[in-house]
Amino acid sequence: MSQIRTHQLFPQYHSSTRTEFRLEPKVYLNTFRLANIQPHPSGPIHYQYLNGVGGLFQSITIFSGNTVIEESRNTHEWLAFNQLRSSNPVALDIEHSLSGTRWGGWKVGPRNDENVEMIEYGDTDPTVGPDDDPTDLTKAGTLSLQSALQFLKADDVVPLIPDLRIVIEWKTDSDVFAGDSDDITFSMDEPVLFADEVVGQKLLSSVTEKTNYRIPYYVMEFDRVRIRSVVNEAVQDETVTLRGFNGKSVRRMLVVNVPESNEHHGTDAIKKDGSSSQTLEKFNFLVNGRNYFPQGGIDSENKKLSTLAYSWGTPNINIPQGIQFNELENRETSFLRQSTVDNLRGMVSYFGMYLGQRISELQVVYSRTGRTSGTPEENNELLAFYMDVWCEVGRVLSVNNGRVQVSYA
Amino acid sequence: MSRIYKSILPQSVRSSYGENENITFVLSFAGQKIKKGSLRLCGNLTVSNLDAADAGSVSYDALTGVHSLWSSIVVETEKRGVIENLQALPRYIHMEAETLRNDTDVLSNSEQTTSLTLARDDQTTKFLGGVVIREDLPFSCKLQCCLNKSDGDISFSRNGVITLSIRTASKNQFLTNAGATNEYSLTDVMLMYQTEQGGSSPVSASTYHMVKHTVSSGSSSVQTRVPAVCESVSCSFILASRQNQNDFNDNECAVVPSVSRLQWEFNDSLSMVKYDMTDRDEILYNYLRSMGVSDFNNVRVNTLVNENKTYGIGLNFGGVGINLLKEKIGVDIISGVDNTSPYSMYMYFRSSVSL
Repeated sequence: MSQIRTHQLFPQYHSSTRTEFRLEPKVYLNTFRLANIQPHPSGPIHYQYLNGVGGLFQSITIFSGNTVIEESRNTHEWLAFNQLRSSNPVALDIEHSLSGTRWGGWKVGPRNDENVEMIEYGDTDPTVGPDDDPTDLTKAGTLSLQSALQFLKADDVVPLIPDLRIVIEWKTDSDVFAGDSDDITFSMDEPVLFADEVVGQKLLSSVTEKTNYRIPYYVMEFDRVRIRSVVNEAVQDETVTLRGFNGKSVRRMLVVNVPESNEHHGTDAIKKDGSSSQTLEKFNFLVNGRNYFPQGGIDSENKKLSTLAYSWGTPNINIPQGIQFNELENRETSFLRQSTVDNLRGMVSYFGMYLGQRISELQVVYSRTGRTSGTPEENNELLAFYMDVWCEVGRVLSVNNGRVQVSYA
Repeated sequence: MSRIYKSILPQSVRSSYGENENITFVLSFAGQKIKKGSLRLCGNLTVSNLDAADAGSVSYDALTGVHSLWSSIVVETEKRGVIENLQALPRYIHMEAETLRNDTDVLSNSEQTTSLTLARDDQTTKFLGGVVIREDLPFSCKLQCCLNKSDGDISFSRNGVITLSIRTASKNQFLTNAGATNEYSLTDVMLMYQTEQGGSSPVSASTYHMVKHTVSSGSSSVQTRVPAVCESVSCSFILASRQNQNDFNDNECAVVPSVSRLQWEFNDSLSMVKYDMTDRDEILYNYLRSMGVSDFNNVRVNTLVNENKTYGIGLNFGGVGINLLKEKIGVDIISGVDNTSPYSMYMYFRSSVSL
């Protein structure tokens, strides 16, 4: 007899902006997954190839009653980054293709005049999109909620939490789609939630007999600062204070450069869900009164990438060589030119590091040099942008005779 | 636990480093432990006068990137002296890239790409021009020495101050088709690593011992001893005439012509490996197993048959460490090699050290 019973749950409430699931008080595995994720666009359009249907999520929140256990804000941005943390085999994963992404996927292409399997990091014209027929669900995407909610990674079993609710807020702007999408409007199909209930008596009784317990877990919280525009060839030095993490215990940090303007991203294949690279960028942080990085900080593209890979690269950061730089001297004649990776040049430049301490003071000490050669990609290096700083913050969920309390660790 | 990011400069700092130079770092981290796998050698790579050189055909070994710049690495601890002396390191890393990864993995895995790796050698030619404005190539190389291959954090209390000495490669070892005026130089060289407080438990780290032989006849018998308990032996070959030459990749793993039989021996006894390897696929299978286990490798018809590379021989000792100081290991190779075109044979014996 199976130890698990899988339920297909329909939303208690659904609209184009919000969907809410309410779960019966049972013991579940941490394998909650959404399916039938599909918009109804007003015309033919395709998903961004970096995060597919992940681009539709504005936020996902898990509640116990009215108590927020975890809120994943800007979920589309987080999911886009997580796409880079996959290994090449994941490109062939069934979940990967069902999410509508094409990151690092394989296709048949020419090499030495023969068709061979080649890795593809995204073309300028993504081809995966929602169904044309509104009643069809064959191209709807899926999402494992573990990829957005860190709470679900705390344990394989989600114990008996009263009034468990999952609330999804959908993005409503047409930037969720790739390419020229200004005139596209859309509504959302009703998704379903698959939940695996634990019915095996041995495991069930060991979980349900506990009435008082604590679950430590991490959540991703973020704070946003704005880096002003810069004049061509001028050095810009900015020191910005982040107050969103004061008093919190932070394990890791992720920094995302989000373009402020849509001027040069209106028709991009990944819109603003990547992280734009900057010229001669330098990072340092003032953490609790001391400079975090010695010797001038993180002052090159590959120092930035290797520091990110060490802290977040499980199993790795999967981006092709060359796109961590804005531009190479010989790009016109190099391996980048007209290859699929050139479409990503300067678009996926993330920074990350370990902190492992409680924050009382946090400042970003940032520098870049303005540069333009007139093409849209380079203008990113003059424009203002938002620096989204994500931190992995420790929390504890306490359940005491049915009363739920969430606190910072 | 609070993490500390450290960056240290070489012991005698210079504005730039060229070929055949020593770069020494002293790692002092009293009361702390080095986080496993966190060492990165950072700097900027420049190759001079690229435009004038042979229509711009200068390249480097794509699969190893700047790893090819470190011809040897010596690790010495205050409490135990020299614990690792890696010779012919670029070739070993090249063999790892061919047997444990495929070319797209080398092209896209950030652990590799920060060392300026690419999938194919011809991609490196234009890449050497560097980044716009900087006109150099910044790198952050995960050194492949025992300090980065440990199975846990490395404590100060067990090792004391650690000295890391790196010898840079010659121009011909690093660059291919370089002109007389093309020189490489490294600037802003520094070592970055991460530490946390505490730690005194011993950790194990993988390393290797290298022995070089020459294969110069159709029936070649090689015998050797190694001062370590070893888990496997892996060998690669290159025509002796191509070594350290401007026109050829110094890390090339060439196909030995017409190998018809391979026999491994221990203490001159043929009984431990009770069969000859006569089939090329069987030889390659054992070579791949000797380097480790991976879902990927770069040994395929195109690289092996058409490009005449990605070849090697080897033997995994099956999880049993064999003390090769006491036991003598040998290999008989029956092949089409003759004395007019001898091959250099690099034997790498994988073992481990305690830190």
